Amino acid sequence: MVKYDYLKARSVKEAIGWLKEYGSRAMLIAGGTDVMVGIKQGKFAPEVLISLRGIEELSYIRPEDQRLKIGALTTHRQLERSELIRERFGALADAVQNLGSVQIRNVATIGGNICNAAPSADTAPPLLIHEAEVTMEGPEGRRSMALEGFFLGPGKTALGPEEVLLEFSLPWPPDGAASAYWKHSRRQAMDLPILGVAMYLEAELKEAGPLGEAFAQGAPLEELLEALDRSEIYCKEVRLALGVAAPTPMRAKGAEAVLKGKRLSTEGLLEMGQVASEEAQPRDTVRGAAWYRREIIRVLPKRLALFCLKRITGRKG
Amino acid sequence: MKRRISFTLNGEKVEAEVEPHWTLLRLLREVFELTGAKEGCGMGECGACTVQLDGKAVVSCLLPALEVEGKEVWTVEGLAERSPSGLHPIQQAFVQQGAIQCGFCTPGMIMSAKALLDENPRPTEEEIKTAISGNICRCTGYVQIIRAIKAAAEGGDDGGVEGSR
Repeated sequence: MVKYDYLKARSVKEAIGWLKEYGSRAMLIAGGTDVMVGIKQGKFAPEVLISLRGIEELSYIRPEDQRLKIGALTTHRQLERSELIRERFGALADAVQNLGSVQIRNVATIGGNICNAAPSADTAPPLLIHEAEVTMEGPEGRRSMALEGFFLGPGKTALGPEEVLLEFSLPWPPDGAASAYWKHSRRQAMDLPILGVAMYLEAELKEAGPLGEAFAQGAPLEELLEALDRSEIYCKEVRLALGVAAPTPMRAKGAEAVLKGKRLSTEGLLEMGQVASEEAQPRDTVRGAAWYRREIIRVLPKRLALFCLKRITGRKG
Repeated sequence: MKRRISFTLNGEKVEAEVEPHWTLLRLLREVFELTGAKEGCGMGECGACTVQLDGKAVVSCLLPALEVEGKEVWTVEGLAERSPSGLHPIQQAFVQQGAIQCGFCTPGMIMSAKALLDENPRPTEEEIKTAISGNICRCTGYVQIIRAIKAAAEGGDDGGVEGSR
């Protein structure tokens, strides 16, 4: 096992000071469930680990100025438990529920999940469709940017070598909006996604009766889609994000344009999936072949739209 | 260079000298000679090294030892020691329900179950499955394990053993 020194920062300033002092010999560690595994696998060989875990003021979930603010050191378990997130940011709740195990979620942080920048990071697609902004701090002060520009490649982010990620800030979604995330994997717990899909949908329910009834009866997918076609529901806004579909988590904006402003239908959702599967650049990996990933990207928007609509209609009822 | 840390281990204040790169698992097994927590995969996947840190289930193989400074750690050894009958109600239930075969996963399973029942004394079967989804049993005695945790929940109106938290 690699030997390293371990420094516990008491403040962000102290961590930044150590990053300056040790440069590329140092690495930040939060919950450690990726960093420790990376060290054991020989992927990382830091001489110094700078632990952020003791900086308690970076762990929070709070509504503020029409936005939801999430501290970078908030654990997945805290997110999973948050009523606010379950109610209004459903995709994020879906994503954290099946990430790792309880033991992992108890320590793994959302900042760590994002800074690790794996194409499969479960929290990335939900944060992307909720148009999260990230704030970081370095020796020059603080700066913020859209999360979309934060991912530069597998394991690579826009975080500077002397910067620490502080916060995610998500606009408060309007009533009539909901989001959902689907991790396509062989096993729900302790497994990485073959593909991750997140959708944010803002719907106008002109006539949602047939679909509402189908939901109430617990109808299977095909029947729900038929009921959707018999209903009159318009898509005011839609956002779609994919994980493990490209070198970084991505928004599928071409696919979003297909649906935006239109009446929701099985056909429209399939067309959206078709465009998204063309926008994606999946690879062949041990978890799945590229053609297979494209195929599931094509069919999953149907399911995601139904998840969102179930949340929207459920709330109204 | 070793550093001195102090924390609460199974209800007692302890101090230890640790290397900065040690994990809690190594500290428990090699310094305190508590070998209940096992190293299975060493990558946080199997749960055989599960212990409670401030009441929460964590995998000790991925936890830097220095992070337990000032915190409270419980291992499976602490449960048995504190019980007048020699076994904690969860352990008793595992024995009675035949939830142990080779025994390698058992300490981790019991600590995951303990963390669950401390927080939620009446879990549903779904909640039990979620709580042990990070604990692998290769003898595949999951059915009995789930039954044992249920039995411990139903039988343990006293909420477990006095002083075991």
